[in-house]
Amino acid sequence: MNQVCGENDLPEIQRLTRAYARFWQDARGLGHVLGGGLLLFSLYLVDHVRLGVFGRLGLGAAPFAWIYCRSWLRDHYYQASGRVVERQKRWEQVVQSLLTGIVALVSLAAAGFLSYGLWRSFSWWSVPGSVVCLLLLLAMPFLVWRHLRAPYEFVVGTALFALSGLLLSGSPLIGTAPSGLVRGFMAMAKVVALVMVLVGVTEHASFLKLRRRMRVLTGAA
Amino acid sequence: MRADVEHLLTLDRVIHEPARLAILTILAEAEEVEFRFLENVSGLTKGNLSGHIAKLEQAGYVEVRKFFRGKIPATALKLTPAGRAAWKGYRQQLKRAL
Repeated sequence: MNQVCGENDLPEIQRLTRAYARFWQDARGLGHVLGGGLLLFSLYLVDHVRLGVFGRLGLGAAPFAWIYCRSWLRDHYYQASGRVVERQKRWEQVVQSLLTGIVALVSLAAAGFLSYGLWRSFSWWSVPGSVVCLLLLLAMPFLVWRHLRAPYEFVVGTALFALSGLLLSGSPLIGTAPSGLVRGFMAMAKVVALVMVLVGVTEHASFLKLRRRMRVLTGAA
Repeated sequence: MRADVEHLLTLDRVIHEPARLAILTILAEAEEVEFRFLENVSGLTKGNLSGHIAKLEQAGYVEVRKFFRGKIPATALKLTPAGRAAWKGYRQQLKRAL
């Protein structure tokens, strides 16, 4: 049976709402653990295993499954007591717009480069892969705007979707030795993925505490 | 002393009620809040909560949005700019009075 909160509870309600609202977008808990783990696993597979068609398709589709799982976790686990949309700070909006703008520019340039390459040396075999890659490139700014807000989420998410583009388009780059620049980016992405896993574990622990506080406040068993 | 009493007398009566104060405290910390969360955290009954929300909506302090989650109807609330300003004003007045 719920108790009606008193005026003395107001500061606690305030803190609790703020902490709970973070699980709308900022704190993903197990979603972050999944994302970081998925990137580490994907990079390991690409480096050490010769992937067949189904392996490429499965691994290429995994980032979309990750985005779906995060939303599912939020709606059915972290915010199961009702949806609370977090207030975005001004600087967060600026960072988000900046990252989306950069990704939009890079995606447009890559899409132009890909289309030009397709037009110069056209072959029907390369059409399906190029179309998949183009669609993913055009969707990237939306994915970043909607789903990849935190800086580590941005690094891990863009690495996952870039890998997904290469896998789904059947790019010959998979399975060949990467250039120095790509190796550097992959090393950085691995470190950020590890950080994201740790952040996710910490957030999950703070959620468990929050849930206990909510139970105490509402007098639930 | 007299000024303090005046501050108290000019407090916004729509906000200066424990249940509505709790509702606004929750709404002020988020962009949008689902009715279910308000009900869980405030401990108010559905009917009581609806009554208070109607008063806040009438004053132009909150905006109510109805939507469907799958096939289930849901309600979400957010503070209007006027509501946020009134909430800030109320807190300042109360601080000055105490």
